[in-house]
Amino acid sequence: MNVQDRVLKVIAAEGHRTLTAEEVGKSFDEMGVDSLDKVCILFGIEKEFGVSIPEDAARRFASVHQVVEWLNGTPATPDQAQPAD
Amino acid sequence: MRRVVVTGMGIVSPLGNTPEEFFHALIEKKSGVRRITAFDASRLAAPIAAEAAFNATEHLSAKELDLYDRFAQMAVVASRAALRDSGFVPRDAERARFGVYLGSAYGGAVTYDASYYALYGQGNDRLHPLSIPRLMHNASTSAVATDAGAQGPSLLISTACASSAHAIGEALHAIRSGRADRILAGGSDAPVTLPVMLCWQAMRVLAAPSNGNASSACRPFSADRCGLVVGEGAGILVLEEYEAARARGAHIYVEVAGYGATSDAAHITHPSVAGPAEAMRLALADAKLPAESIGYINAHGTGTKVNDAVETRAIREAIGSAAESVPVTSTKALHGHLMGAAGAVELIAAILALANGVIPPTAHYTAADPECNLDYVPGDARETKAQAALSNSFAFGGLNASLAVRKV
Repeated sequence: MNVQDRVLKVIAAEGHRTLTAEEVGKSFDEMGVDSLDKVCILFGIEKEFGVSIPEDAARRFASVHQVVEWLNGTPATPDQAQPAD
Repeated sequence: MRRVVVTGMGIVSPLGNTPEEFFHALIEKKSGVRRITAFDASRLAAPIAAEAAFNATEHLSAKELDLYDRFAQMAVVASRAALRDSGFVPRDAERARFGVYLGSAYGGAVTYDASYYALYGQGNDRLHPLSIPRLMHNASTSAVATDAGAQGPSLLISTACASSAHAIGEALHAIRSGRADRILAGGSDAPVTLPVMLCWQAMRVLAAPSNGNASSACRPFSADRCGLVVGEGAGILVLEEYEAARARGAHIYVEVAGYGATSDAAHITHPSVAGPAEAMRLALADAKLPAESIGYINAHGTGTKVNDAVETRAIREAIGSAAESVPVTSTKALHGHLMGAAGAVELIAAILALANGVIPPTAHYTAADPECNLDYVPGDARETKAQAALSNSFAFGGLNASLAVRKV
């Protein structure tokens, strides 16, 4: 499974939304993802990829596409993150 | 003065999730107390509780399941049932005068447990972003208000074991005073977690199975009583201004006629006689009901040595010679102590007793205690022509509530 597919899986689980590949470029606003949905999705992504998303990056993300791009440019660092749930 | 009536009831309980099922179990003395299934209870001296037969996934969407702690899930499901029962579907113009008053002693106990386990048990500093909205005490009230579209005054009252009785009493005043026309009132609690159970165990007030039998561990007012059994559930009533209920042709179960609330202002756990007695007197005075008119008292009756003896004396002090003949029962023998939901669930029991003309017995009563010398209806259910009833709820911390209901 590529990064984007894994992100879509997280969005389905944590954001309760099924997105198609074509919808990835949409902004969170367009998707109806509010700020609480967004922090839940980012929490799921940290857990899925074993990364820690810095505050400034988390605030900047306005679309799924931006999250995927950030993940593609960021090697997984499982040691930095031990997400819960 | 504006009168307030009950037009709908919803319940999630260890004895079933409809008022009919619940009441039938009380009459048939079917116990909801058994070995705990929610977690490995082998670390408990008495690994028993009254767990609700409640599978949230049957009632709620994936998003709702994610957002709500178990205590809020049960509140939402019970409130939907209560509204359905009442037939009230709020129009936009009615929402501002439609509120939610719920009680909870523990709030999101399941979420607290999971969060602390992640934090201390697993050394994990990253907790779920929904932890706060799940665990906050008002989560149940907020969830129900959102679900029901209630935009009027809403509160969460946390007064331990009297939470939902206080919530119903305060809702009564809110409707009387004209601040609201309808309120979903009651409470919910989901305290069957290992830490909460161990905290109760530490107080040495939990009942143990007798001869390996969990179902009869709680024996209120009986000489051999040995403590309380923790339970979980929700009880929610639609309280409605009388004329508004009549105008829409609603079925009216009873009038919530009186409410008395007092504080012992004494010991943190040992109840006084004076505080509960005065709460009952105030409820009767508020309802303008003479003591002799009360045909049934649903007691707080936890099954602890102290509570049941003190409550007996308080009933005698409150209603004098009427105490000689009034049936007093504790349904906790069967559904356990539902903590913040207890007052509401037991008021539902009292309302159904009046409506059905049947008083549920005090189950598991085996032997008379000289300190508990009232008519506790041992044995089987009893037919009654009672027109009015009291329901008592007394909290640790000495906060007392008594509610009076009467047939309309």
